Parts: sequence; structure tokens; C-alpha cells
Amino acid sequence: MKAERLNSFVLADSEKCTGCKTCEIACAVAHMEQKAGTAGATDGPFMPRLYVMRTPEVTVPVQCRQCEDAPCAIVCQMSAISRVDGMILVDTERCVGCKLCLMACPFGAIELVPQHRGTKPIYPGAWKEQEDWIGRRLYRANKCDLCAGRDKGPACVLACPQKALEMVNPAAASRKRNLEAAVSLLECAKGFDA
Amino acid sequence: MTDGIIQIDQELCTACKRCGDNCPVDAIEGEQGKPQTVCEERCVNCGQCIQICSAYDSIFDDNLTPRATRLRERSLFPSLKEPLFAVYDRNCLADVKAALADAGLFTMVQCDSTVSSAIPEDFGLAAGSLSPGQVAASLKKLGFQKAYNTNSLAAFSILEEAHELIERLNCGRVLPVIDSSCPAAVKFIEQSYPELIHYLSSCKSPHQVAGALFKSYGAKRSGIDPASVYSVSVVPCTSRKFEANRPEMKADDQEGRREVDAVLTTRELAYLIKDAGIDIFGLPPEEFDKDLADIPWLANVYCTTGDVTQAVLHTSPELLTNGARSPLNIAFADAQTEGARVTSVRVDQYDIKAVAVSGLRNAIPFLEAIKAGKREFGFMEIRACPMGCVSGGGQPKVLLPQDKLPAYIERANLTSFCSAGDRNKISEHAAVQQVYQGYFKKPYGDKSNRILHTQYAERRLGH
Repeated sequence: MKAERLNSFVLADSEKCTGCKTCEIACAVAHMEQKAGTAGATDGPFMPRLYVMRTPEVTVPVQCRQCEDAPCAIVCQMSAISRVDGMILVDTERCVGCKLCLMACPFGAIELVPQHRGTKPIYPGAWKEQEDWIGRRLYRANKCDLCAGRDKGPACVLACPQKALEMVNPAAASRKRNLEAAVSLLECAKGFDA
Repeated sequence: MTDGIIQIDQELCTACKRCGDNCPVDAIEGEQGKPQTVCEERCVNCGQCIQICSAYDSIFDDNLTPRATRLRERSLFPSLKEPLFAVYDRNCLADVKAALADAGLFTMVQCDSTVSSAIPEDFGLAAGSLSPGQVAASLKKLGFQKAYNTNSLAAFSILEEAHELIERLNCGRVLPVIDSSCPAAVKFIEQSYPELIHYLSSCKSPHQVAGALFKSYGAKRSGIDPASVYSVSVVPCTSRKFEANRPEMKADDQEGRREVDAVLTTRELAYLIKDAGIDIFGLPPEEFDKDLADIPWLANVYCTTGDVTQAVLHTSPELLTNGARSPLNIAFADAQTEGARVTSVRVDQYDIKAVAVSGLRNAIPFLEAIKAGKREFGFMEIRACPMGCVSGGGQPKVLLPQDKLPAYIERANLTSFCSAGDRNKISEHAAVQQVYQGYFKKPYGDKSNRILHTQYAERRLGH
């Protein structure tokens, strides 16, 4: 039986990453309803789905691994998270903002973000009478969708000035590793001959 | 915080060093992994670091200074919605807003064509979606009493610079004339090539010339006390903020007052328009004021590299010969080095070779050649920014790296300087003649030299 295809995911190389956050901006822009070309055309905060982390030792963006046994999907009480075409996707219409997925994700790749319809913010049903109260906007889970439907693939991969991000096809990646191992074995054997 | 025009927010900088790698004068300093700072002395204020910076205030970072505080620290309007980036330029938005509300001031604004063509980008539309008339209308709506197109007023700079070129050709020395309209290039020469300062044209840049005109002839013409004029210039450039504050750029006969009181960038004009709640797309177009100069063929001069060269070369024959002359055919060819284009024209007895360079680093080989005594060119134009003023540090900030070049090319195409067609002589233009007859007497004369020309000084770098 042929193995089912493993979920692809975006992975960053911390050796190449300089921490510039261009990937975050590209992600945020790719998921805007009205795509902003310039800073001035952006009418709210960026809502990226990957997060550049900085410590004294490492700088690298962290994002969803599209887990095969996705903890976020397992804990979701609303069945709002499911696997679709090799991606773990959130159905925001079902999400109630319970935050269990945020807690369950081993990478912290899920955030809850304020919801909009067009440029208008949406408020939760319970607070409808208090629309001015910005602190109580409707928040729902948000995560990497591999830029599903985008012709050129994930926006973060394309935009990175350091070419530090790649879309990993796990099967192809392991074949590549196998091949590299085979070549290095040959080099090793040559060493014995000499 | 230093006093410089260009600032780096120490909390937002992620030390990626992209700005430093991109800086033409190595003015960005800092240890590996630590927030960077700008060396004010070396910085030429071109603002390309502002354009490249991608470190911003994330709403997911709970430890950041509150946005309202950051907006206040940067003197930005609380209504501003866009994310804030680590590298930014100081602004005088509050001063301009106060001046517009001050009934005792006569507010005069000039706006560059590069601003008019690119500003729609900051409203989410393609460059060129607004007519210059709609931008003029929005300036009037903001409350400016007079609104001029800087490029049209550039007639005076071009005429004065052409006179200077002819005089230097006639004397046969101190060539090339290095155009002085890019303030970043001027500061670069002052600090890195002080031995070439006397090659710089003494003519002020178009927006300073316009500012000088507002506070002299313009005020008199409108029957206004020059001291009550508040002069604002909207430009694609951050370096003009430095230029307008140079001690040499004081208004004639006015103690300590500036020719240009406030410089706004394209982005800052968009902030003002949004803050005032003006529906720029719904405004019926109005004309820019035309009483100081109105020369249609100059509408797009000073937008891309090579425009000044064309305009000055085109104007030089009218100063040498009295008879009718067919327009010069000025065609550029790529030079052997990156970012440079050359052209040559024959004007009377002179073969004038000119070079136009984009990017300060690309200008270095040419400046070195002059220093070494080579006299290849009669005229040299340097633009600090990668594609000239359309890609200036104050222009709408294109968010993604791969979108920058196409956006700059689009802006350049929209503002291409027309080299053919009907180009009436600047010196025969009625409004220009009026200004000279009524005020300066003659081009390159005593009074125009005092008001429209300046001088430069060596800047010794500390290290």
C-alpha cells in the first residue's frame, strides 16, 4: 500500500534568519481582506500567523507544523479545526474563542485575533451594547493555512530577503536526507581506500 | 534619542542590519544582535533605511510600550492606524496643523509631482489614481491659502543653473557643474569630497528657491507681510527636512526665519488628509496656483534621475543664441558603471557631455575621476535614492521587498519627463519674466544670486 502523503509545512533556517520580520508582514498582507501595498494603506495592526522569536542565541520565525495528529484539532470542543487537503485549518465561524488550541499547540503557533468584517470590527454577542469598548472585540483562533489558494505558495517563503524559509514536503525531504547520507557513506568509504 | 532627522526606535529594532547593509554612507551603527543607532554626522538623511525597515510594533508583544505612547513620542496623530516601524523620521505635523489653524498666518504650500502621483498608494490605490488637481484640492481643503506645484517653480532653478553652466563653459574651468538639487548628494560631497565643493552648482534646490520666492516676491505680489507667510513643502524626500534647516536657507531680510518653515513627506501629507477626514477621491479637482510660474513641460521634472540634466541642457542654448533653435535631442545611454547614464549635446561651440547617476555609491567612481583631474563631463547630476526622487525616503513605504522595484518603475513611468514636444523657452515665459523684471532684475544677477543661490561648507567627520 502506498503511504499517504504527509502534510507539508513551512520551516525556517535559523542560520539564515536575521530577524527582520519581513515574513510576518508578508503573512499579514497575504491574509488581509483589502491587500495593502504600502504601510500607509494598512488600516490596522498586522495579524501575522508566524512569529519571529529572538533570544541571545537564536532568531527564527515559529509557525505551524501542520501536525499529523494535531493537538489543536483534538482539544477543540467545537470541531472547528480539521485537516483539509493536507492543511490543518480553523473554521472561524465555528470557533468560540475558548483558547484550548492556543494552549495545546506545542509551538504556540495559534493566536486569537480580533475579527473584522470589511474594515468594521466585530463584537461578541454578549457585548453588543458596548461597541465602543475596544477591549472586548470578538477574538477567534488564527493559524497558518499555508496561504491556501495563493498561486505563488506561502507568502512568507517568497518574501524572505535571506531565503531562510522553505515549504517542506516531508517525503521529499527525507529522500533528500537519504541521498545525502548515501553520498557521505561513499565519501567515507573512499577515505578507507586511501 | 539623538537630534537627527532619522531615528531608530530602540525597542522595535531587531538588529537585522538590513538598513545598515543598504546605507550608502555607513551611518548605521551598533553591535551584532543589539538595536542599531544612526550616526547623525555621517547620515545624509536619504531615508532608504526607513523604506527597508520591516521591524514593527506587533500587537502580540505584550511587553511593548503602549501604541498611544509611541505615537505621542513620535509626534504622530492618535488617529494613525498603520503599524509603526523601528526606523522613522522626525516630523513637524503638529506645527503644520497649528499653522493651518492660525488666522494670523498666510499659509503657502508647494507640492512635488512625485508626491501627487504616489500618494494614492497610501490610500490603497494604484499610483497615478489621483489627478494633480485632486491633490491641489485636498491641500486647499486642509486650509492652505496658496498651493503651488514645485516642479513648475523649478523653472527658476533650471534657468539659474543653466546660466551657471554657460558661464563656467565660457570661462572653461570648474567643470562639471555638479547639480545641487539633491540635498543628500550635497551633504555627501561636503563630508566625503570636500575638495569638490566648488564644483557644486551654487543654485538652491527647487523647493528652497520656491520657499525663497514665497517669502519675497510671492508675499509682495499677494500684498502680504513676508513675516506672516508660513511656507510648507511637500516632498518625496526626508533629506529636504535637513536641507530646509541648514543655516544658509534663511529667508531674505528675515531674522532667523526659514524659507521653508516645514517639510512634509508624501506619507505625512496622507496622514494630514486622513486625520482631517478629507475624502480625497470625492473632491472636485482644483488648479495649483499659477501666478509664480506655469510651464507645462516642467510638470514632471525632478522626478527621476536625468530630468534635471535634460532640463538644464535644454535651456542652455536659449542663453547662448538669440535666434530660433530646434529642440535639442537629448538621449541617454547606459554608462559602463551601474546606475549611471550619459548623454552629450552640441550647443554652439561647446560639446557638453553629461552624466546622471542614481545612488550615492554609484556616484563614487565619477567623483573620484573629478578628484583625479579628469575633465570628461560638463554637467553631472546625482540622485541619492535608487531610482531618483520617485523612490525617495519620504515616499509611500512599499511593504514587501519584491514589490519595491515594480512600484518604483510604475511611479517613474507615471512621471516620465517629456523630452520631446513643445518646449517653450523658460526665459520667454510671461510669469518668469514678470518675476525677474519685477523683482530679481536678471537671471544670475546680484539679487537672484543673493536669494536663489547658496554656499556649501566642508564637514569634517569625527571618525
